[in-house]
Amino acid sequence: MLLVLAAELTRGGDRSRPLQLVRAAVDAGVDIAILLYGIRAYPLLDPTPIGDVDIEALADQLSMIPPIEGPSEPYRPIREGVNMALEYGYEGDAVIAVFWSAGRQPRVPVWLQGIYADNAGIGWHLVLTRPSPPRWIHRVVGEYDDRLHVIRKTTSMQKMLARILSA
Amino acid sequence: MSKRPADIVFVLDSSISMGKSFSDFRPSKVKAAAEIAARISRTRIFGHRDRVGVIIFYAFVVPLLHPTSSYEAVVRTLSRLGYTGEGSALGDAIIEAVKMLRRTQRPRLVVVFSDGELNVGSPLELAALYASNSGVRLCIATIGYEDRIRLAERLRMLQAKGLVEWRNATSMQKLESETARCIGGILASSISG
Repeated sequence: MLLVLAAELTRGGDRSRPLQLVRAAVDAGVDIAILLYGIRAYPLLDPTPIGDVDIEALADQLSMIPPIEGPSEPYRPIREGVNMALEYGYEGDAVIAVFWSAGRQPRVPVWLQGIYADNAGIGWHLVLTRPSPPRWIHRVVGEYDDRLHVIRKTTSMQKMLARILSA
Repeated sequence: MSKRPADIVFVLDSSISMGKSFSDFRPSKVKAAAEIAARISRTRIFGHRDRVGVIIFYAFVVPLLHPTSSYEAVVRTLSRLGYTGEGSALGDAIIEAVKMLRRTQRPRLVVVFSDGELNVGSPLELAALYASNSGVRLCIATIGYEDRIRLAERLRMLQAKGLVEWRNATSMQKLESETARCIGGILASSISG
């Protein structure tokens, strides 16, 4: 199974949370891919067995990359993640987790691009890096409340990973 | 040492500044860079059985030719190039080139010709790291006086980290020889490593 993690490349984006999920996934035996995004999404790491990923080197890499101007459009990594999963033969066997600060309402709702993922049999999840969702979040996720995760102080990344992988 | 054919993608900056002449880069830097890329391609295709692809970029990235062993196709593509528009998305262009090389098992190399501007798209650091993570080597050849290359500081840092081989030149002959040496050195180490 492929787990695609997307972190915001824009100012205010949190790049440490996706790494926490990578650490939580070490025992899950999945393959990992990393995307960074702003208005567009860019690959940093193509699908790689998690045992081959040097997480500390990945942390160094993430700290090397300067932020770009916003806004962040979380639908973009879903599109890029689906295309990557299909290109590498993970159709029906991949899940995308987009970490997002939800600083402003995006132009394109995530649920709409999520249809593309659903049709490819690829799961998608939105992980908010703020403690509570904004009021307009329903416009972003539509009916898919179960795809929305919020990171609070007490949140266990292991449990979140289990929910994401089992959904 | 066995000679293993490689896949090389030439990435040419076709932004407005590359449409101007400089030193003996005439009639324009982009035309001269295309001429150099064609000459190097001839050596690589016929001498080393490599395949060559071509991408151009300005604010947008345009893939033109997937890696091929057809020298005619490479020359036909390169001979049509001129400057195309404003902006310089160097990082995006490198990422596109690495994606173009995803499916090959050969040693892989991206060679960039630019005057060292970057003002839109993804950071150069991200592109260089993605190339490195994907096992694709990166040679960046810039045209101009070194102290006026805007990306010089970042290129030096990336070169120090082993993510980029950077060459700069103020004449066509120097750029061609430096780039050919850069390609030869990288591919020799890829084959022996």
